[in-house]
Amino acid sequence: MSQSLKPYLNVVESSLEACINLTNFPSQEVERHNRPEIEVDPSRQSAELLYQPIHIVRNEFEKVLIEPSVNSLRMSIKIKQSDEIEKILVHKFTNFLEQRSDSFAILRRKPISEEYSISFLITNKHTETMKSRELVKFIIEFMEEVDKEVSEMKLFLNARARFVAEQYLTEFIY
Amino acid sequence: MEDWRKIDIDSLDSSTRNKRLTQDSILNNFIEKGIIHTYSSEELNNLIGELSGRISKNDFSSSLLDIVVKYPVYASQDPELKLKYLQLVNNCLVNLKDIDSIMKQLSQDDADLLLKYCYKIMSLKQFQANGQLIINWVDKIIIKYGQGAVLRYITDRKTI
Repeated sequence: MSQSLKPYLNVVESSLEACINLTNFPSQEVERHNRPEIEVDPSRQSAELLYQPIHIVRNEFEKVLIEPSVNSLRMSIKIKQSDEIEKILVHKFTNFLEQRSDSFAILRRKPISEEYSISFLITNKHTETMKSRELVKFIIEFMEEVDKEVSEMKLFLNARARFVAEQYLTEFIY
Repeated sequence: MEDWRKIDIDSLDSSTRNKRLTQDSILNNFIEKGIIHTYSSEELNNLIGELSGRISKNDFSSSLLDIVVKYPVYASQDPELKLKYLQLVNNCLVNLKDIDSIMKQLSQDDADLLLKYCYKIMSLKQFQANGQLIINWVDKIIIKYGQGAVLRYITDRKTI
């Protein structure tokens, strides 16, 4: 791991660990409803249920936003995309995961905005059935792995493209 | 007695949710009660002048400590000036290389305040290019004061 990546991940980890103290909290607005308060439309939400959002920014291309609330937290990650190919790869990769978000308990079906590549939504139900420390660990691991994965895919893609182009163009050699 | 049929008893019920708290109403409440000092343009201009004077002399460590300890700008009349002030704080944080020695001088309350500045600066687009340097500060604060510092940040309603 590079020297500058470590403090970034440390900060994300401890911020996330501090925010993951979630508790059951039935809706104040609708009787017998229990919804993740962070997902409620902010114009109809009461401010005491939401905590201060945390932005952790390494540079414009790599950042994390953690939005905690009383019974849920939303975490959005912008995965590093340095060129067009990486943009496509990240888009395909996150899309693939998001389409399977039903079986991927904490994944949100869409990122919260165009600015971020992928979002997680953790509610008190998740922290009651899973160890919250492990959840945090998983997300940090995901952040470490995804960069490697994308650059690996890019290498494979380039190698494959070169091979295909070579095969195709040998046809024209007399 | 006034016409008791016209009294809106629902508004007296504490459980009615027709009054939602907003971020602004919390801030205004703090200002009304005198918990937060609102900086007038003149005061903030003086502060900016003092700070930029020190920065031009490359006097980074003491000016940073002065801001953190004495002048938390929670509210100001002119948002433009507040942004300018944040720009200067950002300048200080980016240019200060000797984080450890400054961390030794900071009390817990000072560090909490500094953390607020760091998170605020990272949330603004124009300062994001230097994010790594700000992250180093946050990392050092968390190493020294633990997750409590983050918890105090997310629950504190006095925001920069």
